[in-house]
Amino acid sequence: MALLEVNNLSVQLQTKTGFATAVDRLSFTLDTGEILGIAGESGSGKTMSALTLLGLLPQHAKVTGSAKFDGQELVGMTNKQWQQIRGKNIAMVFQDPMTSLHPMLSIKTQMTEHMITHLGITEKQALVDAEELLIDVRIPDPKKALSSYASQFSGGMRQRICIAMALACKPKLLLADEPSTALDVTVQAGILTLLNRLREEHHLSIIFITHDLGVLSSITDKLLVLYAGREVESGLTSTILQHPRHPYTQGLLDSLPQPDSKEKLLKSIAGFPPELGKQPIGCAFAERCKFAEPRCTGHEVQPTFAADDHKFYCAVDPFAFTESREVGA
Amino acid sequence: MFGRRSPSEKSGGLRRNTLGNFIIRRIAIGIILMLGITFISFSVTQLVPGDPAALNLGQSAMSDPTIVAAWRAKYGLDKPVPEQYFIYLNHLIHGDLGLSQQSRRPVSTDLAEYFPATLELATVAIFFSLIFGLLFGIIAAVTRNRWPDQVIRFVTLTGVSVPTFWLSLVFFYLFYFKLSWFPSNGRLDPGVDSPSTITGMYTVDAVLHGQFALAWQALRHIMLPAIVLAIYTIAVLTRFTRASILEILNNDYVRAARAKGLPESLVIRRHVLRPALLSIVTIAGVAFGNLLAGSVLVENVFSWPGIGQYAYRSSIGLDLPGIMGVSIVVAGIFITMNLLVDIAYRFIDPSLRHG
Ligand SMILES: Nc1ncnc2c1ncn2[C@@H]1O[C@H](COP(=O)(O)OP(=O)(O)OP(=O)(O)O)[C@@H](O)[C@H]1O
Ligand code: SF4
Ligand SMILES: [Mg+2]
Repeated sequence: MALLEVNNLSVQLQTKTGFATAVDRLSFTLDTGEILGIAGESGSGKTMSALTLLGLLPQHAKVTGSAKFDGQELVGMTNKQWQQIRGKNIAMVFQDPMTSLHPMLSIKTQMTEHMITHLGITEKQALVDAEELLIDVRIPDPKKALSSYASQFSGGMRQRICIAMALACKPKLLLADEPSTALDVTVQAGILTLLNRLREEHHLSIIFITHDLGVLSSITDKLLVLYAGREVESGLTSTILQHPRHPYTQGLLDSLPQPDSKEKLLKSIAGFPPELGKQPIGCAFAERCKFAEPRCTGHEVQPTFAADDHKFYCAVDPFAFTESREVGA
Repeated sequence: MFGRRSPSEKSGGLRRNTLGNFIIRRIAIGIILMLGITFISFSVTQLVPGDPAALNLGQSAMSDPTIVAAWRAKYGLDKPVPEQYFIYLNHLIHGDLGLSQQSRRPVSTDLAEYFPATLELATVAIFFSLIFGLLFGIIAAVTRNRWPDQVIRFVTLTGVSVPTFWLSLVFFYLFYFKLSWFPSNGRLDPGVDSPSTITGMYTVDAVLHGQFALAWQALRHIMLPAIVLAIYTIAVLTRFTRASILEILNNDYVRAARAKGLPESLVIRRHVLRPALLSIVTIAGVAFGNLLAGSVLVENVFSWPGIGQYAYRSSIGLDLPGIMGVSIVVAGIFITMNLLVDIAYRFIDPSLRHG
């Protein structure tokens, strides 16, 4: 049995003009020890998908479909039930380390409070564990760090503290929401290495969210590409990177900076994704796609299986016979 | 004035930022402010029309120039204005605020009698206000837009809109006259001697002398005016507490706290209330300052001999020393409240104490 089984999960958010679909019939599975990457542009519903798995969506959000964690249905759980899951079984590292630590509480308090709540241990024992965790994420002088406040750390250090905090109760699943995007490149690489090591040491499954496919390639096993709240392509990371079949995935890969090329200008995809609540029937990418044809819109695009574990949603499939890309950048 | 320190100041590192240094710095600023205020209050009284000599001497005395001149010399009024200010300042430093032209007693004696009455009343009122204001504010915020919030909103809206004078009369009529729940006007029952003065606050002095029955009586006398005063402040604090909590709830760190699976009560208590308190304390400080400055209306209705009444009588009697004495006390109150609020900040936000 997979650790996490998500089936037709949809999220509707309340907007000024009524409910709008932010996550549209998402399905995927995640096994123990696996890392799934979720990629997509800003606003594609990555954060909302993760928050659904913690029951932390904005007020009045409607969730349909199913998400089974360790056999337990998450959708429709009560607040009391969520409290048992959050932090203890599923933990999250948030997008912005500058705002997700409390400015007025010591790191000590923030590192230990959920250990005391979930594990029923004493504050003293929690402190010992907290110090070890900080060593684990390579915080220099963890004793001093514990009695410090968030403002005394750089962004990279804060994110390491957030990761240590998330791992405190030995969760089975870690949701890492662009944990490195807000940081500069070298710090970013450090965080990625750290997560990779931790998944082995802690037998963690990770959902790694980013808008940067380049970051995903180095650590994820599987990939899910989102566009306007919908899946457009999914499969093994290596397969997708070698032979992406959806024009949007192609576009994302083309817009990555090439390490050996002198071109400074990135080929980003022209245009913008449809606004929340304005996704068309059929392919939502049609407005920006240079391969778009009339058959792309007006009715649902059916999935095509390129292999057992490689699926994409494109009616035209213009890259069916292109050569494999070079991977390893 | 209540601003958080800027990041650059935070990284200033070596600057010693102990509580002691901080308080000393703030007291120094307070003294400078007080000086400025004495100057302004002195200048304003110079502009007030009316001849104090004429007001204070009888008509027959006014017709005798030697008596008038002697009177003026006695109060330094024959000197040039700047010199009058320094004479005044010098007296002030020695605790001499001049003679009240109304009571014919030293203003300092008057203030020592009237101010503790207000201090006692205001303290009880702010005590009620903080308890109920915070409680209602928290309930309203966590039940946002559901019925408890709506009930509280209606009640507090009424609380801020009802004129205090009207409320005083209604409460007086209802709870004293009709229901006799509370004793009559004044600080003690008629004919009862006040405890000998230590602080001037009857409840405290009575307790210090071991006269517990008297302390209880004094407390019962305070209740009704204190409740009337507290109602407005409770309403203000409730609305303010609700607003600041709702604002804090939107922060990422609150979502992060929930993501750790903490019970909601702990999230509110530890992660939300503490930052919300920063702004609540500011408002509570101002509210307490206002209460300490005395309420003429409430003090009049309940025959409470406080600073509000004294200020009122000094003003209509054009009693300059009295007016200046009151202004200095009120200014001192607000400067002290400001200092206390800033100190409270450092206890609420311990990260301010770490460099
Ligand atoms: N509180 C909210 N109420 C209504 N709509 C929201 C709310 N928060 C986010 N949205 C909308 O939901 C959609 C999905 O947002 P989401 O935060 O999941 O995007 P994302 O993929 O994480 O983007 P980013 O890379 O910028 O973090 C966006 O259109 C966003 O505007
Ligand atoms: S379905 Fe059509 S519009 Fe959509 S990606 Fe494929 S070719 Fe482009
Ligand atoms: Mg996001």
